[in-house]
Amino acid sequence: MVGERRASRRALLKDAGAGLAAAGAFGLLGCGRSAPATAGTGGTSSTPIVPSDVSILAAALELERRTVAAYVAAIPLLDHDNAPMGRTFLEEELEQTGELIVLIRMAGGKASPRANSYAIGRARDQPQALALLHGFERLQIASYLQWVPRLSTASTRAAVASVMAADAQHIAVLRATSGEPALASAFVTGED
Amino acid sequence: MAGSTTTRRALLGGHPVAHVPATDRLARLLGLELLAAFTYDHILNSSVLPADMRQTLAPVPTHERAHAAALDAALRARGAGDRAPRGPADVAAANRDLRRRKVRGRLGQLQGTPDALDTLAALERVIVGAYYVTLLDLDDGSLIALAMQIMASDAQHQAIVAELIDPDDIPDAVPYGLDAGVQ
Repeated sequence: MVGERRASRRALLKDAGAGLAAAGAFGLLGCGRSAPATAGTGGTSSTPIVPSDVSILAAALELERRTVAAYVAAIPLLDHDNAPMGRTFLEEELEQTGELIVLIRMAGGKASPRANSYAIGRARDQPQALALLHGFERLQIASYLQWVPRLSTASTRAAVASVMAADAQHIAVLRATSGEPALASAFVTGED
Repeated sequence: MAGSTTTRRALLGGHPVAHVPATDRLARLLGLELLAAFTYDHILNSSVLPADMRQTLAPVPTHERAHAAALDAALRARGAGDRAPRGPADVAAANRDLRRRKVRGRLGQLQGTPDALDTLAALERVIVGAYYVTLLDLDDGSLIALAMQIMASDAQHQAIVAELIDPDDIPDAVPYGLDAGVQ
C-alpha cells in the first residue's frame, strides 16, 4: 500500500514538475512585453539576455551538476519504494541543467564541460542519502534566491525561478520521505 | 522535442504578457492568496476530505494567509494599501472567483474527495502560474525574491495535493501560460 502511494506520488509529481518545466520554457522563448529597461535589477522579458548573466548562470549550472552527481550517488542507497522518486528527481535535475545550458548560450556564453567528478560528501545508507539530497536542494534554493534578482532580464529570472520551484517540490517530498513535515514554512528560503 | 516547442510557441502566441504596474500585480496575487486561504479553510472544515488528508494539508491555509500578509505589506509599503482586495466574503463570492479563474470546482457542491483535491490542485496551478507571469513583469529585486519564495511554497502545496490525488483522476499538467490569463 505504501509502495502504491509512493508510486502514485511520483507519477503525479512528474506531472507537476512538467508544468514547472513548461513554465521555464516559456521564459526561454522570450515570452513577454516590450518595455524600456530599468536600472538595478531591472530589465524586460523581451530584451536579449546580456553577457553579464553568464557568470551567474554558469554558477547555477555547476551547482545543478553537483546535485545531479549527488542523486546519482544517492539513488543506489534508496530502498525499492524510494529509488523511483530519486530517479524522477534526477531526470528533472538533468532537465534543469539543459535549461541552464540553453540560457548560457542565449546570453552569448558557452557552458563549461562537466567535471570528471564533483565533491558531494558521503552517504552510507538511506537516511544519509536523503539528508545529502535535502542539503543540495536547500543549497540550490538559497543560491537561486541570491542569484535570480541579479539577472538582467525578466524572462531569464522567471525561467530560473521555475527551476527553483521544482527544487522546492523535491524538498517537500524528500522531507516527507524522511518522516518530517513536508511543508516546513510559508516561505521557501532554503533554510529548512 | 520539436513538437513540444511548437506547442509552446502556440501557447505563447495566445497569451502574451502585458506590462502591468507592480502594485496591480501584487493586488492580483493578494486576491489569489485570499481566495486560496478561503478555499482551503472551507474544504478542510468540511467533511469532504478524510482526516488524514486534512491533517496533511492543515498547514496550507496558514501559509496562504502568510503569503497574503506579505503581499499586503508590500502593497502598503508602495503606498497602495487601498488597492488591497479583501478576499471572498462568502462561498458564493469565492465560487464566482473560482469560475472567473477557470477552476472547475464549486465550494458547497464538491462531490467527494477527488473533486475537492482536483479543485485545490487546479487552484494551486493557477497560483503558481500567476507568480510565474508576475516574474516576467517585475523589476524590483525585493519583490522578485518575495515572489520566488511564495511561488516555491505554492509549488510545494501543489506537489502535496498531487500526492493525495489518485493518478487515474489527475489530468495532465497544464503549462502555466494557459492559466496566466485568468490570474
